[in-house]
Amino acid sequence: MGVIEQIELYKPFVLGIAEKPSAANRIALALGGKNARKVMVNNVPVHVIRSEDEGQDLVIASATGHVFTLIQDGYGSEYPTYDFIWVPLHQKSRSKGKQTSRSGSKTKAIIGVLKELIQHATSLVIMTDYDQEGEVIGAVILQELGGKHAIKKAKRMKFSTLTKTEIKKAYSTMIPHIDFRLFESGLARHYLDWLFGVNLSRALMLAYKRSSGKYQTLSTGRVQGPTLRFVYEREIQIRTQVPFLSWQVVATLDTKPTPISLTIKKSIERISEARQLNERLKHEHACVTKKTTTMKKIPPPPPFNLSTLQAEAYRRFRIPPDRTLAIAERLYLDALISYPRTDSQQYPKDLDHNTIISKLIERRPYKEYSTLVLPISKGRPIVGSKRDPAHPAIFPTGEKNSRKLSPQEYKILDLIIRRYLATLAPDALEEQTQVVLDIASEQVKLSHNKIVELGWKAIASVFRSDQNNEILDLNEGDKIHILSSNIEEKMTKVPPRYNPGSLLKKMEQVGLGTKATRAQIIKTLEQRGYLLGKEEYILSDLGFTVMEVLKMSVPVVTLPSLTRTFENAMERITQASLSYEKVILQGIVYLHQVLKKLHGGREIIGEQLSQVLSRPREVQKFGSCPVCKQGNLVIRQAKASRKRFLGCSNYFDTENPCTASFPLPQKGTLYPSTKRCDGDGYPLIRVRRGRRTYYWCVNPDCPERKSWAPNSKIRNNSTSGEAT
Amino acid sequence: MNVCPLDERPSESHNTYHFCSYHSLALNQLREAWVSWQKSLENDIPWEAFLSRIVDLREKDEKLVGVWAFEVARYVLSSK
Repeated sequence: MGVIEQIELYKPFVLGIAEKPSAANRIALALGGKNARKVMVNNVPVHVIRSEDEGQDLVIASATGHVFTLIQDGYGSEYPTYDFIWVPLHQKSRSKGKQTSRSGSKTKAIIGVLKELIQHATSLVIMTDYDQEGEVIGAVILQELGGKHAIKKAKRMKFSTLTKTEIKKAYSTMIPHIDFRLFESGLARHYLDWLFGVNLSRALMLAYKRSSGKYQTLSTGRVQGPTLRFVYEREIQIRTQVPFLSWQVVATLDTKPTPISLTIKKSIERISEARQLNERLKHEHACVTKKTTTMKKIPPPPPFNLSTLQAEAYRRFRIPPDRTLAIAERLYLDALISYPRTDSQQYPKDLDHNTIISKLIERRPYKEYSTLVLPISKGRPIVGSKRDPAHPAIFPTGEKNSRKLSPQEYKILDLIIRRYLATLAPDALEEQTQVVLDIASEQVKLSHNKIVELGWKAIASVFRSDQNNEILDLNEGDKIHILSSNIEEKMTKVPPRYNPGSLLKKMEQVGLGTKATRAQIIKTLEQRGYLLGKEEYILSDLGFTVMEVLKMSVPVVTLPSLTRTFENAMERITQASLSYEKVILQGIVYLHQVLKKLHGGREIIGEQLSQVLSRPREVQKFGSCPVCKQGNLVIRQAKASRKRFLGCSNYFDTENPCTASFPLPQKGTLYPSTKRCDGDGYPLIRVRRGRRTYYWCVNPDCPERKSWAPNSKIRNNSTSGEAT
Repeated sequence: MNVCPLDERPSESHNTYHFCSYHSLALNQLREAWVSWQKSLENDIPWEAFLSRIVDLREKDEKLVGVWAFEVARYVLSSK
């Protein structure tokens, strides 16, 4: 039985195509209410809203994100390859000789249902998310299953939240055609990513295969290359760091109630200069020359866009950016927040804030903020400067969750709600006191900030502890006795490593990738084994080699300028000032030159990759073995209990095997450290669990460790970085 | 072609130790820092004494000295 018969569609009908099944479900409920009926056709959900009069029925079916993908047109794994076609996802896996997976057969069923519905529908409506990806998903389905005339006759629904009100409004005011510019810029992105990704990755993989005879998945692309280079350059900086020496003079002043310690002069280049100043301090008093107190208004931060949400979620909860995006999308599909893939920091002009606020402050955690939220007219809500033509900033819809949220989902939703309410709350008021001291002809400034009115900070839970309380009692003309002074050595430190949050921020700063792809690019670099570590990225030997060969042969693909040029071109396609065919052609011409250079250097590239890939896998070493003194301590896992422990790397040595083993804490992330235990001189391991860090002596009989009771002060004190 | 004694990468550098480009960079950093230390301390701190201090610093706190700089300092000291 065909799809039409199974659904019993005997009247002309309108077909709506949503991006995901959950979105289709929401849209159907919003438009049809109780009339919406879900029918399973060949295991694919289709929603039918019957017309009560002579009008047309509405059928809503959905894709599962991209159901078509680009593959090479033809066979072979050589490069360059510039011919590609769209194929259904399930055919891609078959073309690689794999069995059709369960998800592949699901895609096949979805495509079958959509094809028949498109052929019989009298009119078509794209109901996918309104952005580049959404436009490509919807339009490619129409193009591949219904031909070009299907795209021409399709209409477009534009919405940013999946709430009933907005869906109804979007359906009644739909655009009479798809957004062709958005579609073409989306196509250009897909084609360029495919061309650069496939060809550059093949150049690396084939060079390696030619040299070693083995296969290894290696990849690079127009965004991956420059992103990896950031980590590479930072890694070199870290590994070649040598401290530069300078001096500072620190004095303790006899202030009440407690003495205050302050730096009189920082970064003194020569020791003699520091000594002279220190000597002068012995005969001088500190004199208060100026005291000012000002009240400063601190406005709330602008609403979240995707990048700021990802950065804040990582900073506060250590949730990786790709996870934050996945959670935000889930919350969007539950109609709890607006569409998260946005750059905008602006709310829609017609957003009904009063309804959202009244719904939010009904709930327990936000009830107490009801008095804080200002009327909309009083310069509220606060918005930022960034705009996105497709979607507004992220905001909560005020809807109640229909299912139990996971702890991480709850945290992200709470973050969004609090930020939204904060943009509607009054400024925080801070009393800023500044005292200028004249100490031995050096002008030293001290400041003290005190929050007088919390304002929006009460909602967003942003607090800063007060410092330098002692200066409040000082007055102009006061003379303060200097209790002591001394010279301190100052050394420059290693710059911090990138973490998922800071790398994402860097990509955004230089315009690499899009809000939707950045997190995935970082994930791919992790999966390829280029980046090690979860909280701090360390460049692996493989990452080093890939970057070296690219830098040596085609440095341009490791620079952000190339990808920025294409991003600008895509922006111009959206503005209709450049044709997408021209952009693709320019891309191919450019890529051809790059591939020529890579081909020329393939032997050296292959050799270098073979050298690094033939080495045994990098294992983290946790100091030298205290028993045999020759091997290194490495993490092993017990076969029976699956518990981790430290063992000697010489365990399998045939001549001098070492069976030393040491228990490890079973929870938390372990990092090697160069520190040694004060008690017995055994290596110390840095353990990070949640936000807490402590040092662990590997010796179970360590006298220091015996004094550790669970959560004892000694162990907790070590968070400051001192060895226990 | 010479290879770097510290990581067996090919060396094209002209220094006496035949370090690879990374370890050569670390050696340059050490030399630059040595000059700055001499200026800061206002005395002619010997090269070896400076390197020993760098090795000590790394062993005390890995945030002060990078691993390649540490390896170079140790290697130069041991090859004297």
